Amino acid sequence: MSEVATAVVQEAPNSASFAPNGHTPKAAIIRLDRLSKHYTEAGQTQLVLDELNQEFYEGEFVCLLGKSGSGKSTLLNLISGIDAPSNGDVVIYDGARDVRITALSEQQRTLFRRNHIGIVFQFFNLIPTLTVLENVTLPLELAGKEDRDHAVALLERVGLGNRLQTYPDKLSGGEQQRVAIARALAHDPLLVLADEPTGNLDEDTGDTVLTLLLELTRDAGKTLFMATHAPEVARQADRVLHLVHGKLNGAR
Amino acid sequence: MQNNHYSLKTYLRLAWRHARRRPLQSLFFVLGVAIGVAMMVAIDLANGSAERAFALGTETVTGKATHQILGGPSGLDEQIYGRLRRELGYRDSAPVVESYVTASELDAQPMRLLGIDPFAEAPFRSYLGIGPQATGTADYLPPLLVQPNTVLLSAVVAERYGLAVGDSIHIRVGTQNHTLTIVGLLQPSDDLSRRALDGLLITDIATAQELLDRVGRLDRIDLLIPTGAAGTATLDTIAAILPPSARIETTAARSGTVSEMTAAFSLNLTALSLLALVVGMFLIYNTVTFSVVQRRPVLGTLRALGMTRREIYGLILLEAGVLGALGTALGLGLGILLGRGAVQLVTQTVNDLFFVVAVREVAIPVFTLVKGSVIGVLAALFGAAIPALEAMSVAPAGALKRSDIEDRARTALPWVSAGALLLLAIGVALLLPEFNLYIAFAGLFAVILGGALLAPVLTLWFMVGVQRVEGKQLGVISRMAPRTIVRSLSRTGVAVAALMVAVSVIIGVGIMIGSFRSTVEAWLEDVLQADIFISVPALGSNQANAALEPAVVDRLATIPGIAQTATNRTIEGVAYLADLPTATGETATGAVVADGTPVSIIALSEDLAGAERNYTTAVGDWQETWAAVEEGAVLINEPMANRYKLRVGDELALQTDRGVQRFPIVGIAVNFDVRPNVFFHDPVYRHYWDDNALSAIAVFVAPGVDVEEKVAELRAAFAGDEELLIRSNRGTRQNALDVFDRTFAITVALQLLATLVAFIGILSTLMSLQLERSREIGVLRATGMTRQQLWRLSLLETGLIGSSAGLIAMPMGLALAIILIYIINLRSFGWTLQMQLEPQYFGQAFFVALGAALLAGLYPAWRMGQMEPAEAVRSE
Repeated sequence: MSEVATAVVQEAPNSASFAPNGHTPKAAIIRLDRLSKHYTEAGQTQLVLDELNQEFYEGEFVCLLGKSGSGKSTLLNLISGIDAPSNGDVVIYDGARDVRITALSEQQRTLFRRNHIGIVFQFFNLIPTLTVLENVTLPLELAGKEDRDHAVALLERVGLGNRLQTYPDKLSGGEQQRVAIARALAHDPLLVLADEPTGNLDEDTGDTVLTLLLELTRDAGKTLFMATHAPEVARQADRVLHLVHGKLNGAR
Repeated sequence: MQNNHYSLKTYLRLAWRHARRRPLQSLFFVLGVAIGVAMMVAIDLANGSAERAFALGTETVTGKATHQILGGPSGLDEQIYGRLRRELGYRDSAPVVESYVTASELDAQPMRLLGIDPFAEAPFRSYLGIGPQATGTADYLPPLLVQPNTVLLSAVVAERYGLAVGDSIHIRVGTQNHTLTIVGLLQPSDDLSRRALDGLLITDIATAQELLDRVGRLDRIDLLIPTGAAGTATLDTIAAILPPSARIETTAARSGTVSEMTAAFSLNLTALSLLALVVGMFLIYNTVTFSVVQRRPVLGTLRALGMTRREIYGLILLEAGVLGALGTALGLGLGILLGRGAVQLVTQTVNDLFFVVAVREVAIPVFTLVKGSVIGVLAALFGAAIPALEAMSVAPAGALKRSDIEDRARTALPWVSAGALLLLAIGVALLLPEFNLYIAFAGLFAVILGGALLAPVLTLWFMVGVQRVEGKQLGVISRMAPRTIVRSLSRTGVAVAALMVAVSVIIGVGIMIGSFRSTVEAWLEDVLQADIFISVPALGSNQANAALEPAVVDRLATIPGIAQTATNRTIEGVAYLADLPTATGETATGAVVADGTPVSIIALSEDLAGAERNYTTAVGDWQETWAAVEEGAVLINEPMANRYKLRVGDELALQTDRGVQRFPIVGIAVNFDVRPNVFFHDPVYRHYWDDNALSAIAVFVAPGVDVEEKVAELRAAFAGDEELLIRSNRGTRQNALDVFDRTFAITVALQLLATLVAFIGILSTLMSLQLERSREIGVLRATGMTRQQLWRLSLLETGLIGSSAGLIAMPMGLALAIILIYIINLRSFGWTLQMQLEPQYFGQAFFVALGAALLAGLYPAWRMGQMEPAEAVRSE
């Protein structure tokens, strides 16, 4: 914990005046500070994210639009600590203090993610050897905790209360993504990151899944950061950002 | 035609690009084939070299001779040769006196001292380049004939050891040392003569007679007999002038019986050498399955682009063929290197157990290389055939999912298991009736393969059991591990099978060797009753020509502290197990013209083992049986009885110095000599053979006398020009066990190599599973699994694979032990072993399996930990 403390920015979190949907103004929960990422391939450097400065707030639904290959997934991976930036910082307020994700060791980033971040992937990415219920309790179990009731309640919310012992390969795409949503929320994270969560689903199923995801995150007061290239999703977002040529442009 | 050319190019390009992207998998494939081929080639070279060395030693020295006149233990009277030439006017004959000797200047390797008559040689051994007609012999013929203790040797050998004409060499013949002068160097005219000369020291016959203490005696007379009626008539004429102690054999018979003797030994080694290739085929299967699964989108796209099913099949087999060829090439090279080491081990065993042979070079026959190549490539193709069929079933646009293959594998599981049971039944059916050894080995392999095919279903049951036992007590990681194994059963099952085969062989062979060793130890305990044994150092196992003077016994009698002595005389004799072709041999005059079976004739002054001697059958108790032997009957050993189907009550026809005589068999004694043994009571032996020499003396010290001190005292007393081997009971027993351990050294080496292949198999499987699961691992990492947790998961999986293999290997290993002990060994060598089951064999083997799996899991686990989750979760 002391190592985590070194990564904590000691000054008070930035105050903000943003009030999503007319709620009371909330504090910035994620701060991107001159965040850059480039890849080098065959001696050529390709800049994917170019000195991003941005803040996201508690309870906010941020929609990140951009073409394929624009760097949306990269930004999500940097926020979750799955990937490391080339320059700059990602700072997340964990409820008590600001944590500089970029200053954490790999092990610390994993533990931070396990405790504070939920992820929904485009390809569902359920663990095939675990049942529906086990997939949902996975983040908790990895942390040595167990809250079966919460997991069951979440699965009932997503309409899969009767499929607890089913293995993922017996589920449809939409069902799998609903399990993934439950898994992302099971450990009560600060922040849910969703990377094209409807990208692999048909329109109707995609709508259902999106509605569920929004409902659950809003009800729980979680920040939802969603990367997509479907503009219609943006209609429901509190804020829409466009990632173009490595820069974030606010549309709303 | 051009189309084919283009498609082959396309195939090769696709195959090459794939191999380049997955170099480790290709490397494992190549290694699997290479080790398998290398083991086979090495053993083939070792067996072949020993056989060829023996063939050179006998056949080339025999030269063009068609028949030989042979005598008893004291050889032939040299006057027979004179009568043959003078009375019968028979010129196509050459006398020979020979023995193995060692020379300190020639690395103390066994050399054949060949005493010949240079004037009679030309028609027989022209390649020696000796004889009045040969060119360039004039210089050394006079000194060879006139000067005593002169010798000729190959110029090649002389150069190798830095010797020249005029130099002396010191040879040891039995207990005697002599100095010989080199008077000439023979220039080999071709490769055959070079090799034939390599192991020879050539002297005039008179010199050889003196050196070997056989003045007036010949070991044999070589003959050139034409085929057909004229030849038969000549043989009859010659036989008529021979004494009854002599016999005439064809030269072909001798090498025949010798290769028959070592055939079982060679076959056992060959079978074991094939093991690595069998294990390697599992590895190949896994590697190719992985490459098919991994490339399903590519294969689907190729199908969509118009590649036919047959072309896909061809593509996969071509890849396997190319990698198999690479592995085979590497294996051939490796096999030649290993072969040099294996030759030493095999030659040592052949010397210990069968006959003197010195391998001076490891010839590399084309046949061995061709056989290795064909089998290597075929094994690769065979291992790839099933996954190639899977590849064929990929639908255009890559509809085949990994789970499809698993589903299909699961559907096939009952059939595979039924096939396994069928193979086991076939194996048992081949093993139980007394077919020949090849069929028994086919049965053994059927049992091994059947066991391997049962491995997937047993692994499945084991994993289900593990999950039940665990219940909900343990964490998510413990629950995931067995499920991952079950989910990839088509691959994990095969990895378990490969490791199980290797480990069950370790158990089976371990129990066999352990039982064998303890049986031999018990037997030595029984038969080695005396305190001290005195013998003559013999080259190899052959004691027959190493003789002690009877005077040694008299000298022993004068040494205080010795309570009793007993003697043993062992000679190489001949038994006629088939009906004799002519009645001539049965008469008191004339010699037998027939090919006999070589047997060791052992004359014992008394039955020291007595009540401790184990008989499989006998006419009565040990006293009654020995009393019958004293009356003129014989005992034979169990290998002889088993090999020639002899029973108590049968009569054994033996060549004696009194002609062919028949002796009733009154007992079959348990013993572990691979050669047939016939035991006589000493006075009976002396009655039938004109021989007064001894081979060994057993000494009992008086009560209270320290054996080791007495050994030292005897060594001092007999020090001098007679080099006797004087060993205590313990030393003798240790010596016998050393021979035993040397014999099985190669077996252990072969097992280790097979385990190495299984290890590579596990490594390859784990790496392929890890690559397949990279997304899953990425998700686990993204969800918060730490590297340590990932390590735990990975090692738990490999631990379960290893444990499954270890557990299944236990009953399988026991079955193999039973087959090896009661069927293979009995039919190979005629030995009955007492099975000793010790838990350590199973325990050790289990830990070998677990250890191999965990060790193989380290690198994949490390790679899993290093995997970038960002990459892994990016996209399908």
